[in-house]
Parts: sequence; structure tokens; C-alpha cells
Amino acid sequence: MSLLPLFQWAAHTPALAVMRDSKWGFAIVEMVHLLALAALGGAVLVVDLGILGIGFRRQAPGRVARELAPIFVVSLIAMVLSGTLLVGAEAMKCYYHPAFRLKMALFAAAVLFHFTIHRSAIGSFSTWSKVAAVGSLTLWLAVGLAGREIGFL
Amino acid sequence: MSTLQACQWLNDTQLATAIRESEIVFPLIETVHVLAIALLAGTVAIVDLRLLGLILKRERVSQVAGQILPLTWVGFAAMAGSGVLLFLAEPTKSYYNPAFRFKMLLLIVAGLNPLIFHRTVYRNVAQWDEAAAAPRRARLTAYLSLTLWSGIIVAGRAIAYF
Repeated sequence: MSLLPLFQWAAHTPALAVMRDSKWGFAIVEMVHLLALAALGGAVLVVDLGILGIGFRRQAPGRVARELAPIFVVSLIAMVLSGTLLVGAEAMKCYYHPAFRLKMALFAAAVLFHFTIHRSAIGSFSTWSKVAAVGSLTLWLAVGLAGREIGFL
Repeated sequence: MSTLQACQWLNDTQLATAIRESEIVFPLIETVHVLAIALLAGTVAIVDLRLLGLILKRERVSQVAGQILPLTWVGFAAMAGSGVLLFLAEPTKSYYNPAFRFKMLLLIVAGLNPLIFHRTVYRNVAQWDEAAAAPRRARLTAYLSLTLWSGIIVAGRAIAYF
């Protein structure tokens, strides 16, 4: 099944007209997206760098991750919601944009990685957990870079 | 020399022109700037939320702040460095940009906030180090900090819209 009809619908639905036609509608949602990025990025960096021995070294990484999980989850939800609105504003441009497609694939991989391998690996300071930390940092960085790339073209 | 004249002089330097005219350098610096914001604002927010007693309640405040502070400084250095380069690319435009001016104002206040905090309430941290939530004045600092840094991010994004 192709997602094209969904993007075509988004491009024409009156519900998203504010996002398409108003400069500030788009700008405000973009600001929310950026605020959530700072929170999400901060939580990811602190947990993963802690595992690598930078920052939170005296606490068990699993515990730090659990404590920061609310920040991660809330900002993830905020990013998905604001991101959906941003896509709605430029649905057709996104649909055909290679960077957008790449970002969605990387994002899916990053979220999946976070809730499976990453979650089970970071209980300690083992080599395996360090590998998971580097993997997580790489994936999220790639999501961010691909996201920035959408702004071009 | 006035600030505006200084901006105009900067605007015409070779470095400024090079950054402005390169298709890759400017967005690259921008990306570093956004990543640095995640490190800076993200770590600041974690300390603020600890002061408010919302996360890491069982960890000592001084331990959380002490371990995270080096990361905050790295984020600050990267943000300031990339920020100066971004400003350098368009000094005159920034000078007249209301969002830029507001952001600089917020940055000064956001810098003063921890400076005052560390010289006042935080000096007695030993007395409330293990408490879930910090004393009222420390919590006020945390709210102020969260508001200021959010404002800085919003104002920073708004620069592109003026």
C-alpha cells in the first residue's frame, strides 16, 4: 500500500490550512519541535554519555535512564505531534524528499532501537552497553542531520 | 566606533563573507549550534527538574549538578563558538533583527541566573542536598532557568523569520 493518498489528503485538507498558509502557524510549531528536540537530545546525550563514562559516572546507567524516561517520552510525543503538523504543511514536498524518507526510516530505527536493544543493554557499564550507547548516539544524530537536510532543496 | 559600525566592519571581513557565501559551511555551523543547544539546554533542564524534585529525587543535588556541569560547559562552548560564527556571517542583519536582540537579552539574564544562584542558595546546598525538592528560592531559580532557556530557543528560531 502506498502512503501517497495520505500525503495528498494532508496537502489539501482544510484542517491543515493554518499550517500551510500562515507563516507564524508554521513557525510556532517549528519552535515546539525545536524545544522538544533540546529536551529529547539532552536526555539521550546524558544517558548515553554517562554509559561512556562522561557525566553520570557514579549512578547505574539503567537508573539514570529510568529517571530520565519521562523527559524522553514526553519530548518524543511532542516531537511526533509537532513533526506531523510540519509534514502536513508541506506534505507533497516531504513525500518526494529523499531526506524526509531517510529521516523517517532512521527515526523508526532509533525508536525501535531505544525500546528494545538499548533498554535491555544499558543495565551496566559493560562493553555491550557501551556499544548500545554509541549506536543510540549515532542513530539520533543521523535523525537530526537528516531532519536539517529537509530544510534544503 | 559604534556597535553598528563594528557590525558593518565585521560584515565586510573575509571570514564573514566566506561563511555567508558558502552553501555548506553556514548550514553545518547551524547544525552544530542546534546540537549544542540540546547538550546545553538539555543538561540545564535536567538540573532544574532535579531542583524541582521531579526527576532523580534520590540522588543528591550536588552530585547531579556536579556530574552534569562539565557537559553543560561543553555545550556552552560549542553553542557560543558556533553562535559567534553564525553572527559573524550576518552581523548587520543580526544587529537590526528584533528576535536576535531579544535573544541576546535573554542570554544575559540566563547567564546571571546561575551566577546569583551559586553565590546565594547553593552555598547551603549541604542542608538540602538530599531533599526531594530544593528550597523555594532554588525552585524559583529552576523555573526561571527553564523559562529563559525555552525563550532563548524560541527567540533563536524566530531570528530566521525577521
